[in-house]
Amino acid sequence: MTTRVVDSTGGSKRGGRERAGVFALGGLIVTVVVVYLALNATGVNDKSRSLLPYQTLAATLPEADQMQFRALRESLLEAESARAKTNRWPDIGGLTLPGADYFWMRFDRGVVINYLGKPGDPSKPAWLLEIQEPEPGTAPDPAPNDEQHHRLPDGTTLHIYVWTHRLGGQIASEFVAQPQNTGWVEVFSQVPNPIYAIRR
Amino acid sequence: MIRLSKYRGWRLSAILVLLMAQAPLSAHQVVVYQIVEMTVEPQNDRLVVGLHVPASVAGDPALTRLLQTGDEAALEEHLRIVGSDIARSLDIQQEEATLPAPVATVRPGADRASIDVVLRYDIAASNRELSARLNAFTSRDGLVRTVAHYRPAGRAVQTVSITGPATRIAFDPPVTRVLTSFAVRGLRALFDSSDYLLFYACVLLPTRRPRLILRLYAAAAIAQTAAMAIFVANEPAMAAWLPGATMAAASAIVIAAIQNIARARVRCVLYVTVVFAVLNGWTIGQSAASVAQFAGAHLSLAMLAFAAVVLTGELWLGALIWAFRTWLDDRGVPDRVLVLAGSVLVAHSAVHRVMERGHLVTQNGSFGGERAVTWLTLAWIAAILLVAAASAVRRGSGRAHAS
Repeated sequence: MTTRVVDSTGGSKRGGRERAGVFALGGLIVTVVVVYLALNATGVNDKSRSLLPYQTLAATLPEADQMQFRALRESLLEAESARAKTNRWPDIGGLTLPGADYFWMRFDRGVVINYLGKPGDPSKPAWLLEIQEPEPGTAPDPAPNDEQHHRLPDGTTLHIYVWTHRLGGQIASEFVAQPQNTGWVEVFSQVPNPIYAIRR
Repeated sequence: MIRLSKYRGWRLSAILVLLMAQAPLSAHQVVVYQIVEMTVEPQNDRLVVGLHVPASVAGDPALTRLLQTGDEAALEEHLRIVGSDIARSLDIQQEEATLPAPVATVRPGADRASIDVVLRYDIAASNRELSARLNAFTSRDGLVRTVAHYRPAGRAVQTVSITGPATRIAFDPPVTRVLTSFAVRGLRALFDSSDYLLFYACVLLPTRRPRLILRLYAAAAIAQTAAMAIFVANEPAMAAWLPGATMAAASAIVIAAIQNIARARVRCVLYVTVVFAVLNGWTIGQSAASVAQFAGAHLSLAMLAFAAVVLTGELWLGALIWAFRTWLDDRGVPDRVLVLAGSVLVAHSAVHRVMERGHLVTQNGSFGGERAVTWLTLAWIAAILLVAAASAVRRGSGRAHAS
């Protein structure tokens, strides 16, 4: 009969070190997951910090304005569809623009199209859907499709902006050249990609 | 005790003084806020909201002029529009449903440079889960701050002060929401502060027994929690010294790194750990105090949740560093090399922090700028010399006893 000598001390030490290694790796993974979840659990106000002073997120607007924003984005798709079919932007009558008591107008200047909505109640906000086509002869915009960039079937890249203005009854019924300089606030549903965001 | 020869000790101190006394003076930056005062009073099935709004933040450029000229007919029309706009932007909700439009009364303020708005809402009699979108005002004259006082019947007034973009605030939120939101805020505070990571890395660099590490952690946890509690209870007095405290916390990391290099005794490590924990608790207490206003009637529970998450997170990350250190030890990395290299890196980073915070102290004006850095360095040197002297006296009396 043979006798086998087992070094129990060394074995348990090795086991302890292995446990430490497994704990370190497992703990690292758990920590990364917790950090990710915690960063995503922060409110919209933290996300708003990367926006410019004249920009805001739709989620921070009053409930009624959030609905108006969503409806306006849907109307945009309708307008783009008409533009793709007829090669021109539809008139107000050809669209179902949101807001029962809103009066909508269309203004064009060069490659920029404004759909401006003024409220019947002057205390409500005005809304502006601004669409910018590419300047003739310019290189195609490489930005991927997102909230600010839409691509028509022929490859034309449109720049899209949705704006709102407090006390909409005080807004002049005219083309808005530089909304960011006249009290308009650009609205996003999520923070734009900083690489492709259009800085005005 | 730190085992340094006299020459080496003074040389180190001289280097520290030279490194730290570099903070240049700079001008003070004064931010002037335009204040919107607001009161929210639930009265059974009515909610009365009162606002005192500077005319310049009301969004109507004609309002300031009309208040001055006294064209009452035009003014009345503008006040009506502005009142409706304010009610709409407040978007007061009960149990996450927007309340029907209120009855609004708007009057010029007594100073004719502001307006007083009273909004009366019909609400469910439960008075529960009311929220409002605060600080939806903008001004070209500077930043706007809304100070809202929520006055529930028969209970203490809760005050919320908001600046920056419009934010929805729940008045008197339910306890479950408070606990979860303060747990997340605690986690954020933990990630925003990285001093404790540097310090833990420093303390855990030398191989130490787990029981000793737990003793150090327990001492640090008690000291840190006490400092946090004192800060929350007495914020105005404590906040004035915050820049100095953050600078001192960074300097404690430098001292901990020097202790590693000098192979300091455990007792000295414990002293520095407690000093660091108090200073770190000061900083984290400031984070807790800045969000305390969102706890409604559950301030104590909110602070407990906050502190528990911070302490658990620190313990977790400390355990992770310890496990990593053990793993390195297992790979055969020489202990002394690791301690020296790690301590030098940590000390380098901490010295930069001391310098940056020295600049902040200068801007804040709570200390005399570069003098503060010098005094801080001298205070540490004095503490080291005191410990050395006490040890020498003890050793001397021990020898006398033996003879």
